[in-house]
Amino acid sequence: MKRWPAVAARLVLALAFAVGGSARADPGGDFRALIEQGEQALRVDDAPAALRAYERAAALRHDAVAEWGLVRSWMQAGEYRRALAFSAHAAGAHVDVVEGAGLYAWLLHIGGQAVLAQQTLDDAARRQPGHPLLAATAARLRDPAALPDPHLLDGATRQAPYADIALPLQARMVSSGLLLPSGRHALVPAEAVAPNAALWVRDAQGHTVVARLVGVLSELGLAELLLDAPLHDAMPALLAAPRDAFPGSPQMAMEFAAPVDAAVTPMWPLLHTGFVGAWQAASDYALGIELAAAGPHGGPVFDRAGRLIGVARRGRDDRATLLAASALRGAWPQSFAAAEDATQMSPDAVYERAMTMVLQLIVLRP
Amino acid sequence: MLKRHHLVSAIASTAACLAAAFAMPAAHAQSAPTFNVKIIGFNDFHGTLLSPGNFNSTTQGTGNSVATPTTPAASAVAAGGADYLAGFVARLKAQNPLNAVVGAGDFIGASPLVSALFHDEPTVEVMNRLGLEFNAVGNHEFDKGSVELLRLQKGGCATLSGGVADPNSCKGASVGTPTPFEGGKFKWLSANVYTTATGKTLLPPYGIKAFNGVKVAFIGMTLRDTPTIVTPTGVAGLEFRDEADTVNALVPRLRAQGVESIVVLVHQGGFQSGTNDINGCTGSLAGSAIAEVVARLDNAVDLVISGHTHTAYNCKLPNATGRLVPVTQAGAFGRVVSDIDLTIDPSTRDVVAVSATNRVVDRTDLATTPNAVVAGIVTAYNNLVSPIANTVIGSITQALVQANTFDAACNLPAGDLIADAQLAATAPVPFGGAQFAFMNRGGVRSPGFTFPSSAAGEGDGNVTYGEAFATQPFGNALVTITLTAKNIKDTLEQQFAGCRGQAATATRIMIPSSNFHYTWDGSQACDARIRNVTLSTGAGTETLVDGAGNLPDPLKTYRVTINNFLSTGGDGFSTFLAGTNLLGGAQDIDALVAYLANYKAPNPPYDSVAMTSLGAPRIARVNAPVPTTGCPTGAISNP
Repeated sequence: MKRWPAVAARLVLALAFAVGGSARADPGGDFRALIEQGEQALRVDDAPAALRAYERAAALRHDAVAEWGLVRSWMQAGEYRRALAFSAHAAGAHVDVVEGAGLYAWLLHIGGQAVLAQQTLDDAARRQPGHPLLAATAARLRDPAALPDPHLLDGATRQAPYADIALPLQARMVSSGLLLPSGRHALVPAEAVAPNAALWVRDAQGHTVVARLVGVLSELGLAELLLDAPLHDAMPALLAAPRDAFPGSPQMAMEFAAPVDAAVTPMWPLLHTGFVGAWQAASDYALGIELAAAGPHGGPVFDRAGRLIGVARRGRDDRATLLAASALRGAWPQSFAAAEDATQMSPDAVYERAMTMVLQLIVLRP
Repeated sequence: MLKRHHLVSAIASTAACLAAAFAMPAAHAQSAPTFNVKIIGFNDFHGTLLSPGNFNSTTQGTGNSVATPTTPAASAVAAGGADYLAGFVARLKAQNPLNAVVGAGDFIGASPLVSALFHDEPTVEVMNRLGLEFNAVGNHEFDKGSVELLRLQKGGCATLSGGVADPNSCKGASVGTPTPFEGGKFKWLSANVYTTATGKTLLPPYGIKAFNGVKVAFIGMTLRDTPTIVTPTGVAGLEFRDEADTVNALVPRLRAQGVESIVVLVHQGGFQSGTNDINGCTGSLAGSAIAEVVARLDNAVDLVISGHTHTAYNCKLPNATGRLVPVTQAGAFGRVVSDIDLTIDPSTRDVVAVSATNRVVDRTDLATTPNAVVAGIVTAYNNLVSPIANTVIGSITQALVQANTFDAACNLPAGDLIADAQLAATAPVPFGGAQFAFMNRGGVRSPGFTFPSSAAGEGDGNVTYGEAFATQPFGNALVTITLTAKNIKDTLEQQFAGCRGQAATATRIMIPSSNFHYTWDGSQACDARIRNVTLSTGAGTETLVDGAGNLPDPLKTYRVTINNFLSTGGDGFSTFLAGTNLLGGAQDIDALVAYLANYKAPNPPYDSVAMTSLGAPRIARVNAPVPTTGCPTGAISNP
């Protein structure tokens, strides 16, 4: 009873394939158009539109380019954890195109997973020895503060966000900073703010706004900036540990690292992990972490629960120190809330939280 | 496999007629009623234990609601995550006790760090708790080779070269499974994957589950072209055969076992054209590999659950006879599941109807209760991903043992280090102003601090945070208290079994910091065992208890650091409850890390021998029997 007349079977088959064929007139063209749509959306900072385009592309074809687009779209949306997780898949599922391994390695590295980043690159290099993008990424892992190879900032695996505005070529990134919850104020190292200089701050998604000096708290070594426009909608108060961190406790420091004398570029910040160093005096500790770049620093530092424990700044002998959160709370009490919850957060979750807070300070000297 | 189809005019018309053709109206003359079996299928999970994000299906009929399958999906809903996936599967299973949870491959491989770092053991453990029963192998199941796949199926720990235990394997005990690594409790199936050396399939070709006495077979396969997309070493020694030929050859074998209901789980798929409707089938997957496989399938096959292309569809495709067979795929990454009801005629043991709906695993749906056990495992693994564990925090010149046999007086090198670290952390006035510290020996866990490099590869003599944490795992906080000299003597006298309320079966000799020394004599009576207690500070050395056991200044106070376990009377030390001016501080592990930072390259390593040679041992013992049996821990204080 399982046999249909042969002619009927052929009719059904023909019908099914005819319908399918007509609907798939140019699937490759559709795919390419969606990829271009996604890239264009990323250029204009429209992460939701980029996600939609790349999702639709991924539904048409299991293709690495669509998956890289999704990864970058999540980064643009501030969703580092999803970007990291999916970049792992994109790298593992498309081992023949090692550019994905480069993107995954860089995302691992910026999230504090330097060892795993190097392993990822090494594995990819074994598959395609001498691949220029892998070599360039390896160089970037070795010196994240150096000017990256231009190829890393190009194409479907671009290892950075786009900037929303172009800045003068003479402008320089001079430090990192901390965005306060109002979205309109920022704290930066006082030593980084040159008198009469034009100032901008730029966040982890490439959003850039003009900033103006409000005042300097010399005892803390910090300057407060007012932004011409909010970088983010008003956020809840920054969650700070209820008491200062103890020497030896795990910490994570987030900051941007850039060459001292090069045109500014949008970039994703770097997370560094380590342990709080020795107590020095009052609210001052040795940072206990080797940061990627020298300089005034200024980025936020967190404990394992993702609570702010202070900001990094330059100490004596150029060694980084930790200005404890208690000092910040004392000066800007409305911006901080004590968080009792000490539940451990993974580094990727801390990175994602810190993406909303950390800034580049950009200066154009007169 | 009684598939009676009305042909009539259906062939000449449209999709409505195709549906009618599939409806398979039965003309059976059986008496027993038909019953339903629920099949819950998904594919290409890729170790996505945490939600991969919003699901952007933009079209209709995505079946978000279990109760009303036609409810449209929101355009972008938070979807997936192992906890919600497990909860959603449980919700579907609750609808019908006759059910099976199955997969179409690529559950592991190309996975995020939370799974990949641990060799995808977390995914296997989670799938066990989700209730997965049968899973086809996919190409990514072979990413690490067939030997590794078999380990994941059978359990056991991964090893590094040379047979060294892999530190990222067998974490079950610390994530709550609690077996080191239990292996898959589900069956991976590989009907078309043969081991060339034996001529047999690498894994079982199919699994059978009976419902109301009717057997349903699940044949599992990967795409024939797997060797072209997997690292050659991953598929060495394996042969991948044609999918349809494999199934068709198995049909007689299954029938011989009384099986008429057959489900194929195949890691091969296709794409709709121009739509993202997860319940659509635009273009009928024309020209796709899965359509070509189905077109050659024996008419005995009742349902095909497919995968590989990471998209979702709900199709009915013609088989070798032209009959339309349901073919589903559920996207990828645990964001969608296929909810399929098979209607089975017990008299023929065959499937007479199939109803399939793809459903989004919607994290905002309050009707789905996330699986707390799964969530706990995922969280625990996520915390283990931290790079901090393998960070070198200091170095040592030789092992610091934890064993009580080390010294009859009860000195303990690992405890020495910890006590010194706790004093250093709490000596500054803002942190307690401590003058000395006591460490309870029970808080120093085995193996102490070992010298050889661990599998993490930190190098001989280097101490990683993970190793330190293993020795100080309790997360105790340091507490600095004020005690009088009398309190301190009483505390030391309370170390011995039966003395000052100490348990009759426990002797607990504490380890002091290096600036505190005392002598004990287990041959004496309670309260007469402690003498020669001295404290060295920047101001010199003072005596708290002299050689005769007397206190020169019993009311003089001292700042003493202990941990919060002791401060609340732990280990029978009720005398610590007399402490005043308590100041809580760092965790014990923080203090240890901070202290060892002084012994991290380029600084010289911590030398326990040199530390001891600076003065007499911290603890001295007199009148011990000869030979003695070592440091007492039980009822006998002078063994």
